[in-house]
Amino acid sequence: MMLAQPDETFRVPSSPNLTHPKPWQLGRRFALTTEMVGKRFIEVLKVVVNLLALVWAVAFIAASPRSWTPLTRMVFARQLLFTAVDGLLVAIRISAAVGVLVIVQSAMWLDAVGATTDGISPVLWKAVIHEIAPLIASLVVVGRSGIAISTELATMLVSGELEVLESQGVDPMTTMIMPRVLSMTLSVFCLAIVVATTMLVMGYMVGWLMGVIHTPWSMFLESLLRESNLLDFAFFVPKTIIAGAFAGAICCADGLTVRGTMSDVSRVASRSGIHAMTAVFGISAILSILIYNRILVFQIL
Amino acid sequence: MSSLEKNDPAPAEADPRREILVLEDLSFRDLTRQSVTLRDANLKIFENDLVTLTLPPSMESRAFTSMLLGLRMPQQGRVLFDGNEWTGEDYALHDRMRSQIGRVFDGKAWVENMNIYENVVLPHQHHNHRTVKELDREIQYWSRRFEIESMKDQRPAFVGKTFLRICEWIRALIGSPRLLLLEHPMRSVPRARFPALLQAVVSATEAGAAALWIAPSSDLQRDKFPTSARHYQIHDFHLTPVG
Repeated sequence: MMLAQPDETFRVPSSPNLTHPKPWQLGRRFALTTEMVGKRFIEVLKVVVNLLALVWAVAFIAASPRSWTPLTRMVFARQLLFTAVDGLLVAIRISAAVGVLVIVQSAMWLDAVGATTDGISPVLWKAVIHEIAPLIASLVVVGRSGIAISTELATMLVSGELEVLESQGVDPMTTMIMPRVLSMTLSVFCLAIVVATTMLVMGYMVGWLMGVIHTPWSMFLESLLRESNLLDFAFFVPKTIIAGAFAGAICCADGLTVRGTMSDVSRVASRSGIHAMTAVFGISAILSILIYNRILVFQIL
Repeated sequence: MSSLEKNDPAPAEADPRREILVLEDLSFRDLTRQSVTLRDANLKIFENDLVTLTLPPSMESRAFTSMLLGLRMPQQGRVLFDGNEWTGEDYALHDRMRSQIGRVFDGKAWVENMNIYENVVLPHQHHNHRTVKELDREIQYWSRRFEIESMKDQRPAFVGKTFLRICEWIRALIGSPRLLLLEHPMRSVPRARFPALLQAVVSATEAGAAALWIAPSSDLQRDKFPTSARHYQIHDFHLTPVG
């Protein structure tokens, strides 16, 4: 089949917009692009600095015994109950599913290449403790409580409830924000321990039932514990604490940025969820770089 | 000497009573709502003083009252509460100052995820002014005086407007406030309850408080107020005395 030949007589109509840009125009475009990128970078930097300031303020206020008034204690207890205790079942369900997926998949591949399941233990331990458990716990807390916190604070701001508190000399930072950020931080840490335990137990059970894990539980556990060292916990604790603190700070800060009417609340809440999740992944990646000198890759040996 | 007293001015020569709320050359307007707008307003409210401010029709007082509490800044002039300004960064002092002011709000007045009792005792517990027993005793006293039932375990969204308004009055009155800011306080309250509420304000002022009663003329029966009360209105954006 003959392809149609381009028409020799076809000419692009002359237009000043279609001429090649002159060197000074290219320079100007480059300058504008650089300016735009620079502005965006400074904006992101400002947001990060503001969040760091908020986290610092929360830590500073929480350290003062005078901040723990009956109202602050009540808000903290209620938030902890909602985020950590009520979120326990959700965390267990998700981590059980992820545990089965990760451990059974790994065991099946090792089985296929003729390796023993002993080889899976270091990978499992590092992956679960260093990366997956803190991530899942953070995502559960953000999805379940972070967005709710953002919605609640935005609603309180728009409806004038925060003004009511301030009118009575009740500082919203001490009574509304600090206990919420703190409870989210604590919840991520506690849920990460639950997630890690559930993943390992459920993964082993299903793998054993499917016949892809042949070692007895005691040996499996022993090989996991053999792989653990103090450094794992030294990284697990700050990773969960920092991710939780930033997720909480982002949700609170976003909730308080709402301007306008009640219809803006849902938009702000969904945006804060995305921001918090992005931050959790970002923090995880940055800490991995700092800790292992690699990004989301586990130094097994 | 308490921190609230550190900036106390010398007693005024004209009136020996303590100045509780002072507006000096105050200009204020809030663009976000149909709010009270004032130009070069001057007003002094002393202890044992009851002042009424008549609002033009359909004008809201919330932003203006928030400005009196230091939550908004005036365009010009200054507001002093008990000798202290709202400017500066001593936020702990500002919170302590606000804890001595009882307010009946124009509009939203409750934190919805707490019950009414929690709302009422919230500021007093927060500032550690009173024990729960003392607060309960005081709440019971005012509940009996205003003839309302117990406010325990009821969320603000699930009770009648009149009951909620009376509870707001109780919240403003307990804890011996230095200043009462009453915005449209008879809204949703039957006229029959007016004498009891007014008497409560008179009792508070006799005990040393100052009170500013802000309401539209349709809801402000000036002739029912004690003769010692001073009356003002807003005319052409200026604060002018009445009578």
